[in-house]
Amino acid sequence: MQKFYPNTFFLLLIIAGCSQSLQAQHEHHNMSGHGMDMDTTQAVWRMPPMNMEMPMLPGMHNELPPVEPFLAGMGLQKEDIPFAKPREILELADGDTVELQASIVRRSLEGKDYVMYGYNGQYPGPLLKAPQNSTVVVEFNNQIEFPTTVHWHGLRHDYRFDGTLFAQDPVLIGESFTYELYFRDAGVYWYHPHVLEYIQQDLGLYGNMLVEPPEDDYYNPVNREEIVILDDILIDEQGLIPWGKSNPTHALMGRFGNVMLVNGKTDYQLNVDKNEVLRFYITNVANTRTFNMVFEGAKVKVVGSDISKFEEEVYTENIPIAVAERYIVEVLYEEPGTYPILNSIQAINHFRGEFYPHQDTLGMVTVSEHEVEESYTEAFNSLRVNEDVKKDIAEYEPYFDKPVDKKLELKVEVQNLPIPIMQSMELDTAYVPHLEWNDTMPMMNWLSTGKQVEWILHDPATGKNNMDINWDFKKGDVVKLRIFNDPDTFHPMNHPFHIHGQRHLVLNIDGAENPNMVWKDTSIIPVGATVDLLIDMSNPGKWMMHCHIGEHLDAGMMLGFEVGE
Amino acid sequence: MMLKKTTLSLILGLFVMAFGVLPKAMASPDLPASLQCAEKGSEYYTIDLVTTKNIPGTGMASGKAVMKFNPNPFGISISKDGSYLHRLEIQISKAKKPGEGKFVAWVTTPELDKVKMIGSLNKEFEVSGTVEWNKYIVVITLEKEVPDENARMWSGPIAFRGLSRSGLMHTMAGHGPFAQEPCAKYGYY
Ligand SMILES: [Cu+2]
Repeated sequence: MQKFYPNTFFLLLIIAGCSQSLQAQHEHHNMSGHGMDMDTTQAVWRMPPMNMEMPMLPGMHNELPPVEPFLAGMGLQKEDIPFAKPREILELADGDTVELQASIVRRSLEGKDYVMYGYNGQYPGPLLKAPQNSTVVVEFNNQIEFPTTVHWHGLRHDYRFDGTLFAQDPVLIGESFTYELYFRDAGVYWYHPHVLEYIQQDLGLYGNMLVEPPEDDYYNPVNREEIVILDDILIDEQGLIPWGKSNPTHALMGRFGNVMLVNGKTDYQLNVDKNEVLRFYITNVANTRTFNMVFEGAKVKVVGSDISKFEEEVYTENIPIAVAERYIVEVLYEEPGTYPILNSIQAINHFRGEFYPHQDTLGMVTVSEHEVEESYTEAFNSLRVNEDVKKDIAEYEPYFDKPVDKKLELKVEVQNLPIPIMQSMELDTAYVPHLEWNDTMPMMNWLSTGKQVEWILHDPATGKNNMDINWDFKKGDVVKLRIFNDPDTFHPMNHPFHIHGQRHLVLNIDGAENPNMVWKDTSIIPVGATVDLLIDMSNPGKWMMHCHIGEHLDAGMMLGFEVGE
Repeated sequence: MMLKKTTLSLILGLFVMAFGVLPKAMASPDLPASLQCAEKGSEYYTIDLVTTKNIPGTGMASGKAVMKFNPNPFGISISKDGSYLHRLEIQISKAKKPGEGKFVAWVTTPELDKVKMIGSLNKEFEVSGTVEWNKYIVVITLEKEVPDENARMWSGPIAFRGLSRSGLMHTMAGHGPFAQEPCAKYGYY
């Protein structure tokens, strides 16, 4: 891969012409996101809120994303839309049937109302609690403004119910589809649309599944379990910033929100007793944001991730969690007081060329003077070695050193981006971080759409890209996939890589062996890194692998593979 | 004091390098090799260690500090404050064993407000350790004896130094589309 030469590129761009300018819509345009008067019948572009100290990119004041803007519920009377309620917990048994409806809801965040989507009129969607090895039927009905499907993220079940284009046509507006779920592995999973994820999921279509193991001592004893979904949403004083209707905006870095949500709320709170031990099941459903979660004032132990427990428990001070990943952690509060749960990052200000510390408060925990009734601190204070997981993974050890079966290179191609963006990007990418923790270029990112940006999974063995790739495997294959995230592409970015219907291990990153494994369905591929995954092709069907950043997925970053019987 | 001056001018030098190179890169395809085509994997983040030629036997020597993934339960290794945590593998080649003293590797933030000793180089001129900063300078000094592991500052002369790749990141003021924005306004001179 060679870096392009700016001058040639500029020439091409001038010849090709660039994105549209709509002066008329921009008369009141400024940095704080003020725009047109509110129109309730159609969505109108307005610039997302931006860091005021960053000067506006010269020559960009009149640029708008060259796609149609979309907001939910346009033309509807807001008063007629019901308010969403907090999620219900559905305790399910083998053979049960659940009704699930996606619909338009009203949500109240920090005292303001927004029109969004919800499953069963709830935020997040209902929590499906089911025993391991059970089957549950979901009668799904679509009452949103788009065709949609439901993908059951992480389940190793029948591919016909996976919600992808290989499994079904999208469920049209007003229509229904019956899903049959099988819960093969204990742990925490989640469901979301597999059509226009960057809009539908961002608007609130997500929920958890908690698959409960039969063994009483599968996890450590704790006082309480908390199911926590992390998300963010992009809002200014006028409301939600519109989405691109048929192609995403923010196609380069994904859409970062500026309001953090825990279980769909901005004011997540917990009251715990002194010496209480809690088990958190954490899912990140944001479009692109990786969180670095910190439980201030607590001791934290990592117990599990996507599809299993870790081979060995470890203590940690922070939990970096990428889009679509899950972590299961146990948390002990020993001292009375009030503590925040933080997202704690080193953000980048590319204009100033600096890293700077940044923290978002995700929630607050109050620890009372009252001693917890039953103490589980002893179990917390020892680190368990999970022999069951070790034994399971040991069966795959003979494959750890096998030759690489498949390779992928991750990169991006752009066309027709405005010239100032191209110029700035040249400076911006003199150094690329392993991972983008914040939107370092809100204007440029917003203006880059799925029309101009194509994210690419490249198979060097065949020269094929994205959906032209269709790998064939057989049930029982153990496949070593080597993924290289090219740091020299136009605008490199970390990618949370999701493999449907199977489970995988991260063998090594840049040759550094992983000493403590866990079964995953989504793994971070940092910029510049080479990551070896070992995939257990245990589940026949037609499946996808893709980047889980909603905008990257829509901008091409997916491929198909088939596992034969 | 002398040492501090040397280091400060080194930092300035590196900045000047970054400043001098990048605007040029905007205008012409004659990019220096290091910017033109990154190497694969962790190679991309590798820090070139350049001799100061201050120490006899190091005039022809060079080295590198490879930033490696630091294994941890997560797919990315960062600290509580969000800084990247790397394993740093340092190696010097073509250097002669010093007649007296030991080569010791250090890392320091560009502001020199924090200094951490990585350790003394072994017979193969290698040493490794962890770094928890996003932007830093690797310094190899010649010390009379190996300092205490909590040493706050080196005392011998600098033999090699190099800046983490993140040092290439600098203000956009004064460059490309922001050519009209003076760098000084943003604290760069
Ligand atoms: Cu991606």
